[in-house]
Amino acid sequence: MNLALLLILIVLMICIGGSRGVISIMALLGNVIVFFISVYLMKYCNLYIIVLFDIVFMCLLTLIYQNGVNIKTISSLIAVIFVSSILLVLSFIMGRLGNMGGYNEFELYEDTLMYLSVNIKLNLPDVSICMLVLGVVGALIDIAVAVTSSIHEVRINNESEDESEFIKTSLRLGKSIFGSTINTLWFACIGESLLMFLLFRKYHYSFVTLINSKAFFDMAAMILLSASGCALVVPVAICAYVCISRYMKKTAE
Amino acid sequence: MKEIFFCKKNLYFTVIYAIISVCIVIFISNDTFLYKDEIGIVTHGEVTDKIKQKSPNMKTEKYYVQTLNVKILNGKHKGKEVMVENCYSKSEVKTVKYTLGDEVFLKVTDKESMLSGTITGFKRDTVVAAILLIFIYCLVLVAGMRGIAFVAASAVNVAILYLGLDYYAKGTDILPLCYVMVVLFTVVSLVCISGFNKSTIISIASVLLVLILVAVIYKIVLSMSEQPDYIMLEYVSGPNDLNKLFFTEIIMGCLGAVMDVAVSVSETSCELLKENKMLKTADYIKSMRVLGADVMGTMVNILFYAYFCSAVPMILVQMKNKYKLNFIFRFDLPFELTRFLTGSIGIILTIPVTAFVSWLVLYKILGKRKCTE
Repeated sequence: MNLALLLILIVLMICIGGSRGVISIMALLGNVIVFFISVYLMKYCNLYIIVLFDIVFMCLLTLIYQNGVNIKTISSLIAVIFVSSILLVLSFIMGRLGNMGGYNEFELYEDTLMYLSVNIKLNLPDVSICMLVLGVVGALIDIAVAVTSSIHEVRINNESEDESEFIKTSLRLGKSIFGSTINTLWFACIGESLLMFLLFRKYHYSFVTLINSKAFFDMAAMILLSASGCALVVPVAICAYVCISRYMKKTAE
Repeated sequence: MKEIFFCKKNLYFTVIYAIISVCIVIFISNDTFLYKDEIGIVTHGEVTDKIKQKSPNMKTEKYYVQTLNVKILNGKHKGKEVMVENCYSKSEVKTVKYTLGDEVFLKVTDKESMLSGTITGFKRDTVVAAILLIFIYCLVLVAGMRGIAFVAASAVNVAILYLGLDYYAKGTDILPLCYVMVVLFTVVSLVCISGFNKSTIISIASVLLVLILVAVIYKIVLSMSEQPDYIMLEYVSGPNDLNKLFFTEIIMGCLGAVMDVAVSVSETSCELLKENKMLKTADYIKSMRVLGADVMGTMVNILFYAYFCSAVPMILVQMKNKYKLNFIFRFDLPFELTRFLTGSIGIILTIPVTAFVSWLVLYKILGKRKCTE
């Protein structure tokens, strides 16, 4: 079934995107390969190093390979790396405080996992924290590119505008961008955990049990921290853009 | 820089918000009197013993035994201390390591005035509240009133989901519920994100159209290939309508991504036609294709990472148990893969569908009316 869906997807991408569609497919393929290689490497290396490397590589692939080197992509690159490092620290703190990761109360009794050995010599909470950040990097890149390219248009169309006006306009533009991307993550999360919600209902979770349960915490932390990252990347990308354009002006003089 | 982060309005907001949130967090971390179960705080802990167990790749895994002093914070044993033993492994898959200051749920047994207890759970409400406060702060700081609207939309969506699942639990079939929920989600989210205007109506119409298309494609492909093994889904609780539930999951997973693309396409096309009223249809199609190519690459990547990253912990556990990658692909990942593929098909379909709907609305319907007026 998946093969048929995959074929439909590829045909659609080529029909609608044309040659750019082919580039998108190649970039996706690159991401898939890097993703699985890095999952494979997690057995051997320090997780956080792999994840940072992954983030940088994803940025390079999506930004530089697909859109070329220019002020837009460079400022997005800086913004994405900066925000994802903040997010990594934040989710590390929150994850440790709330005991994130590991099997949740439903997985403990699931048939498919019951027979697996848990002596894996790999800290699973760390894996969950890293995956939270890696899962949102795609969204961060998307938002950063949208913000920087729309403010770049503004800059080109009226160069005489002074900087504080320009920043105000950019913030206004940025506001409308990230909301819908958060929605993407939010509904993807609902789609994934619908069956889990049904389990909450089945076992008659009260509100108090729900907010203290591991399954709920893992999901809530993922969605809320990702959304915070999506919001934060907007001002950071504008900042990066302004700083780089200042620097470029200085070197030009 | 200054204008973005340190303007006066933001500064006041940050200070007031920080004070309020510190108060909330302090209150919640001391709310043990609200709980019926007994709660304790870890006041002292040390590792007293180490055990080694064999792991599947013939290496050994370290287990630690902790002796914890837990001070009981509520109930009839308030103020007393109990000793609790806890064993955790280095990989913390099923076991948990407790550190100083962790609040835990306890089951205290009182036997001949000797208190003993076992830990039954971890108290997470403070952290949940802290994360929620961070989320609201980020949104409001960046987007102001729009951020508040977005938070409100999320709350309404959660309420819709809750009601829907409530009806399902009472015995309503999931499919009609799914359709109703999808329509409500779409209207609420889109109106909250971009207000009530022409492009919102176009987006709502095209989102619903795309979802119907995706559903049809999925059903056709499903009927032509062998049935997937729904029992392998995560969190199966035993109902026999798993195929319908999975279909609902797929449609809801699609919804967000489709909305995202629909909003950006419809806003751009409204913008285009406002600026340039005499735009030819061929030029319109051309610029829509460029926009589509811009959007689809990144959106497909977002979905890929959003779906597959959450599967990684389980993949790793299985790989450590010497499962082959192709086995994992055959039995555990197909559902993630189906979700991702249907979502991506939805994204790609949204581009032409939204472009067509906006063309129809803006050129044909609104255009004609202008001529007759």
